[in-house]
Amino acid sequence: MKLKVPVNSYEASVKQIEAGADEIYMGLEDFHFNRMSYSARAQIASSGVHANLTEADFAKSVQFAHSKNVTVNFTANCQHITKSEGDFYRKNFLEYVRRGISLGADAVIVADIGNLIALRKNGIDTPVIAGSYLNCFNSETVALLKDLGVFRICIPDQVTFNEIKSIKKNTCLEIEIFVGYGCSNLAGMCRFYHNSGEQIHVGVPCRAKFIRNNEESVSIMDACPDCAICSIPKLYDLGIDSLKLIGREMNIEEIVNITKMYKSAIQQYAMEGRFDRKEIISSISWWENEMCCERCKYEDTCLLRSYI
Amino acid sequence: MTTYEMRIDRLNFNTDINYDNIQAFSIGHESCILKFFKVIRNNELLKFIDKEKNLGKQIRIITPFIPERHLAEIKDVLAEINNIKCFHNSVIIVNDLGLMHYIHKMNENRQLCLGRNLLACFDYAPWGHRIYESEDLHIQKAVSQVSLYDDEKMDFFKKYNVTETEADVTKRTVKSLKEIQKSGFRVNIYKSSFTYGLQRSCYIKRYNIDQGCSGMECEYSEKLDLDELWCGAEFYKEQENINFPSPLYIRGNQIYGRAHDIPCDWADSIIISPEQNNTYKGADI
Repeated sequence: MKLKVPVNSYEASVKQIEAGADEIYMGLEDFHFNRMSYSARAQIASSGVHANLTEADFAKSVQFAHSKNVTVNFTANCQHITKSEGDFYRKNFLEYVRRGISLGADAVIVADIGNLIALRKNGIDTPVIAGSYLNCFNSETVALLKDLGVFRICIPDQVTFNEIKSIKKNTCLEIEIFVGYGCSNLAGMCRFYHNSGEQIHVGVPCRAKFIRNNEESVSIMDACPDCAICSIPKLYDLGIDSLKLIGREMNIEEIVNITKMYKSAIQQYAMEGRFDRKEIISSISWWENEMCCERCKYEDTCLLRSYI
Repeated sequence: MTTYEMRIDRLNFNTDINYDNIQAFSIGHESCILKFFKVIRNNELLKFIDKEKNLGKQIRIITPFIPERHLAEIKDVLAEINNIKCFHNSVIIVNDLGLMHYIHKMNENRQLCLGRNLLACFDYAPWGHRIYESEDLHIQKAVSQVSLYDDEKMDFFKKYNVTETEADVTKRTVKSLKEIQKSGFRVNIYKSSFTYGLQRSCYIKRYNIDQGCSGMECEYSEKLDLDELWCGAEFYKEQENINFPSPLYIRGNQIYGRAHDIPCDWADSIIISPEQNNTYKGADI
């Protein structure tokens, strides 16, 4: 079971790989945009963090990753390619993908049916991962994506352990799931786009507080599943191929600590056949307070019991 | 000519009043599979649509995204539907690509319509133009078009016998929706609401875990007004006008706001909800 983690600079690549990443994923800056990008994160997030890498940093990151037997996933997971004059927009997108591949990416993450088809039509045969924006909630969607030639599916946040088990049983494709911070809304169907290039501070809109029916102020939309530490043993036993953390738009130091924590959980279980939750989460002082109260992704908590 | 499509997605739908101004009914639910099952199996509603079908009205089926644990049951329901007379030749509106794939596999002649949840566009964000305002004009134009406006996707969906799409509309998306129409798809516009997100979690159950699901708990929406935003570690008051939609509404697992007030006489159909029946007599589009 691989641990796949985000990077947003060469330094971040080194830190994440040293922290135990088996796979890294990253996007490339693109001169066609000022703030947006062909990846699911803007070149510049509203926090000011550069979420994608320059070509030079990308190439160095690939080289370092490969020297440590770490694979590189390239983010081409935008949803916004539409018809344009002379098809320049799709052509630029394909050029972006080719650049990433020529710089050494091992696989491409795609999140739009049109882009998936266009890649193959244009002779790009690099392995493709179906991103979570493709909303793969069931085995029929897996079958469709298999027909379109992907080798791995990234299952969205809000899918239960038993559902993942069922999906996995019905397919030969690799399965990737999220283990870190998650979304309240179904990511591929959410219109509160953030970290997309906006120059305003919208925060994380689904975690905002609202006055409900002119009375109390509550974070009524907050249904974020943010942690899967306790589920590592059963995910390992199930044979999940890859566990994904998010955070290209965040301070990478914070993400590195989370990477270390998940890596130690996986290693402890894989090597010693045991799992000491207390010991694992003690590496991040605030984790228990923030996460161990109904933020589980795959355990039977109130959040999961509210799933339709 | 623009027609009116009435959404039947609640159990308390009034079957006693006159719907002379409505040409089509779509029954089911666009976001909640549990509600879908309850509505589509409700005898009173089935009797009502049977009556309307006999009056020459079009009957359509609206389906939500399908979590794996409900996949077998929706397949059963679709098999049942095939045997119900009033659903013969019904267009099925899909909000799940896997369900689209399955329905087409079972019956390649079944006409399908893409649900609005399958369409993406930066302009659908409340602060859409703030996302792309720094980009060159030709980029701005491309990213404010709805995602279906793409030859690869349109060709792909046509192979699945998708002949229509639903859509929310903003000022900047009108043009691309009209182009989609020119490419051979019917375009049906929501005038009852504008969707912002769906959840797997139903907030009613989240706030009261002992709450069962009779299908009646989410018949009405709750109104939400933004109080404080959240960023990383803390809540804060809105510091600049970010154009947050206010009020928002939450109903079951669905978050939506008011539809934008944009003329839609070019659309093939206007989708309305039961509470709007009196305001949509044909003059206000």
